[in-house]
Amino acid sequence: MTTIRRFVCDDLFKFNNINLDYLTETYYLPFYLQYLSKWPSLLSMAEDVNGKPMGYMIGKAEGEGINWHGHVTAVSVAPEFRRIGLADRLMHILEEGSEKIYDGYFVDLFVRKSNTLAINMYTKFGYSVYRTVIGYYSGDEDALDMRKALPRDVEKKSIIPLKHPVYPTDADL
Amino acid sequence: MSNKLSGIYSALDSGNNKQSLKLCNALLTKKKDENTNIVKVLKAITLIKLGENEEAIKCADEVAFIGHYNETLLSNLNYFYKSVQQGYKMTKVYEASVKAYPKNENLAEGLFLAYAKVRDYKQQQQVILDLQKNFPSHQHSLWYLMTILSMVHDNPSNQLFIGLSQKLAEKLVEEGKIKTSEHLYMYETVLDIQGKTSEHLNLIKGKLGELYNVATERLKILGDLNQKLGNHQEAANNYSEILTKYEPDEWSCYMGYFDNIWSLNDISKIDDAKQFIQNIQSQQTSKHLLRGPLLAEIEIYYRLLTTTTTANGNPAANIDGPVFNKFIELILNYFTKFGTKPVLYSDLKKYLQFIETKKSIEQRKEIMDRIYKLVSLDKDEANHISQLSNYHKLSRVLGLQLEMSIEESIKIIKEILEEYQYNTKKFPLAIESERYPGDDLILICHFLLMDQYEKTKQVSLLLESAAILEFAHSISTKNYQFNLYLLSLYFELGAHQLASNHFKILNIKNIQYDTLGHLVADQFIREPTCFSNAINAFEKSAKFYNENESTADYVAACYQNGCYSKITEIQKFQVKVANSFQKSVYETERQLFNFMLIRFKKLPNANFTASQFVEICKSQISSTDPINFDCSNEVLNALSFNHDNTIFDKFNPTTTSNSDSIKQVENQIQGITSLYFENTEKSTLLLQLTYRRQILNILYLISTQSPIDLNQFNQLLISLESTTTKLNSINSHKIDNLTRISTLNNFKLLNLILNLLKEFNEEKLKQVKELLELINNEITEIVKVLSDNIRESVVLGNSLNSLSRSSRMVVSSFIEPITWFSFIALLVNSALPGKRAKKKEEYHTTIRTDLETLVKKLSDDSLNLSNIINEKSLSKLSLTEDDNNKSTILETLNTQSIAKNVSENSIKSVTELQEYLNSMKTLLTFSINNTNNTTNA
Repeated sequence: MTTIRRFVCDDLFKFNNINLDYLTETYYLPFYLQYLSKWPSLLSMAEDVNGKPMGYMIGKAEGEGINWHGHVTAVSVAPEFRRIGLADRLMHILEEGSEKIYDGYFVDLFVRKSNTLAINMYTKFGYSVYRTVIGYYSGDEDALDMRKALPRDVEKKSIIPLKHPVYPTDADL
Repeated sequence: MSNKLSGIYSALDSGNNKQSLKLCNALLTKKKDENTNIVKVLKAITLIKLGENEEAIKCADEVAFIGHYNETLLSNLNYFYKSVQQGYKMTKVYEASVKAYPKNENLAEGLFLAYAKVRDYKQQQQVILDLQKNFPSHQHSLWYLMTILSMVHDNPSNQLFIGLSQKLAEKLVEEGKIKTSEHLYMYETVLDIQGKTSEHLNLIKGKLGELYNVATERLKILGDLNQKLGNHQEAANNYSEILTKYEPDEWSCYMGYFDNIWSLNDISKIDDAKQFIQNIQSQQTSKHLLRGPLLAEIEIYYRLLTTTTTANGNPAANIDGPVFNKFIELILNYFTKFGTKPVLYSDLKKYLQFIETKKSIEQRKEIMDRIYKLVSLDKDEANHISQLSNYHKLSRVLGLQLEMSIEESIKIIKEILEEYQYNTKKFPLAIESERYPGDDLILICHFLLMDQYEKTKQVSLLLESAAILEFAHSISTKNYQFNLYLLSLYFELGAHQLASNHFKILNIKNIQYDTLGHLVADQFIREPTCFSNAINAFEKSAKFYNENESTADYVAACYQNGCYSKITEIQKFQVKVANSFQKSVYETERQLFNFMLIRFKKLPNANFTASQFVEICKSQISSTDPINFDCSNEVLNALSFNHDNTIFDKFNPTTTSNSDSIKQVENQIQGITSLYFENTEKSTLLLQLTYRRQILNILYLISTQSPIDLNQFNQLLISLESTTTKLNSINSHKIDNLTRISTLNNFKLLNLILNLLKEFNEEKLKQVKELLELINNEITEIVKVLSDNIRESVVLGNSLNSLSRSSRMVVSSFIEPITWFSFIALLVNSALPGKRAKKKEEYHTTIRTDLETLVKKLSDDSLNLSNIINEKSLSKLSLTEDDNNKSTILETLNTQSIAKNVSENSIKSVTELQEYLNSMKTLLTFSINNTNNTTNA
């Protein structure tokens, strides 16, 4: 079973079963500390009944004016804990924080265009493609910028898809 | 930014440090202008990149403390001082700046934050008072409270500051300055520190509690506080509200709810709880079935079986009664619902471990029979393999696999592998990044083989297991569990490069060097084939530990961002990394490793004299970062063990003693060959670290001092002797004990001879003679044990001992200490008058002759050891001819080729070891022959 709580510094000592998975990056220390010291409520850790880490969410709040929003930086679930709806719960917590604590207009995330599994998953969570960002992943691959409107965006303007793809330099990231 | 400066920045960015230095110097020769100071700082940054630390610090210090307001310059200075581990100087930088520009608020804040980073609370308090006076603001009031709270955390018994923090918090509330939950957190902490739980509860219930505007967060705090106050019914209500309204799947709330219900000591309440859980269950749809409500019901029955609700101290329910039957029913039902998910094991583990300790083997078998009936037997059904996988994991945790005979195990392994092969063909892995659903079955095969290996020590079982894991790894290429177990197996088999390859796939980075470095540290530092990996690990880990210099910047960031809840947490984390045990091990071993390797690396082109050689060794030692080789209790007790020992998936019962055999074998041989082990007492690990540091201190002293301070040397010997005695009493392995004693005697010999040369007397000469003889005998004994060990360890044959351990022993008990000895011999030889010197005495000649005899003996010993290893590798390493190596499990498995790989790989390791042994002769000969141009040490 799952318990979700805020991510704490000491989780960095314990998150190896998640990070040894080859798609999950272990960033250098300041990366995590920058997030923890600015958006502590947007980082969550899920643990199983025995206290073993299952997955985590690293998010932030950013943007100007009506572009003020919550952003999913990394969400990762250890291989043995996949397909039990964990990512959904972690996303929900980020959305709730983005809405209630940060009062954002929407939540967004970037995903590799080729990662259909993830794209389908986010679609199921209510996200839709807002735009394509050309060569976002080291110039090799395009990203899809997917968004979900929050209640503050009453008319759901933030998720009206752009007609044309953008380059990373033009995208207000 | 001026063009001139941007040229320097771009040179630095592109790593063109020489160009950067040129540009800086060119600008600095010109007339002073507004850029001069910043250029100096950039020059200092350039110099550290060029390795000129001392000059760099001098250069920066020249301009740092004259007062600045330029933010770029200040942030460059901060960057610079962090890189040279002198971040504390930033307080001086800001002190000067505030003095020069007292009206600048940014600088005043900078000074406050500089003190916050170095945790100089007293100064922090002084500065915040000034800040509030000169630049009053909402933020500064909050900083003041946090400063006082930090002082309270630092000294929890200081009533003055506790009282002050209470007053400050109340004032902030009155003035309406508590505006976010991060502000409120400080007030909550003030109350918690004083144990004012009911005040805390009222606070959260009240208006300010609404600052927690995510409903579940507030309810969890209420639940926790109510529980602490003994308001169990209220607490249970808080948790049940979360479960019914918001989070029906949040396990901590189920547990919080149950803990409080049980604390009520009222059996009728437990009936209510049953009803409550059933209500939640009934609201579920089969489409999105949640695990929480179903597992919660199992938990109720588990609690009835394990906890008391009555006064007589017995569990509420009988282990053989209907409650237990219901408990099993629910577990079976859970398997029906979630038997296809790998998470099932971790959900049920606690309950199965309970059953394992309470029920007979027959009863447990019967339970597993019932579970087996729930497994889909249709091989063409996609879920079949996942359920089967869970079935075997549960069977293992119930302890049903431990007593199996080899025939039973092999039968299961065969079945599993056939299923796995069939299934992977039928349902190929759709996405490469995922695990194959039956992967855990492969781990079960590995565990079954390890159970048997534990009994028979047949190395062929290790090979079979490697073949199975390699096979599965070729199908499910991203399952790192396979890499982890193969890594252990190959190290055990002496195939170090194969092991290193699997380590590389794990791609560990940054903080993982701290938490996972212990997986390989021993082998990397002790196996000649892995030496380059060791250097890599030293460098990568050092880079990570340097990163921690920046951690304090995020304490400052917390103040600036208003994230007060993270300040203490980040500070504690910073200390844990800075005081990491693994860090101390790396730093100590890195120096010892340099000490050993430099001799081998430099000698092949040994056209230099002994004194030049000594100089080279000295420069190597002093050029590495100066570290604190402190062995005081204060330092040792503060060390933090950050190792992550949970990454290997295991499905073991709690009562097992003979599973996980590799780790066990490792524990049996711990001693000076090992630097860290999972199950070792911390006190032993600390003693081991002390021992290594004391040796380092001696090596450092004798190689950098000239003349050597004999009193200081003697003090170090006394400490080493004391640690040696302690370690030898804990660890009874003959070879380890001998090595420690002989190492101690080697250093004693040097000390004694130097004393003798200073002031001759017959008694000392006699002692020298005795010591020489003692060392001679000890080394003979060490070589004998090593030789026996190598001979007996039928490499990859039928013995417990594989060569991996023997080679590690050869390094730790022979190559390493004898390398140190060669340095001792060199120093003694240099200290004695030259062979042709006119002014010499008879005893000089005697000592020289005796020393030469000993060195000659060591040379011969090296060659002997090398020859014994050679015979071994010629005679027994041939695996393919051994009947045992034909796979007894599955013909399709490529055990033969794995055996061949392992064999070739271990020969490589052995050859490299031999090369080191062979070059010891050169090393030792050099240490006594090269006296012509020496100066006295």
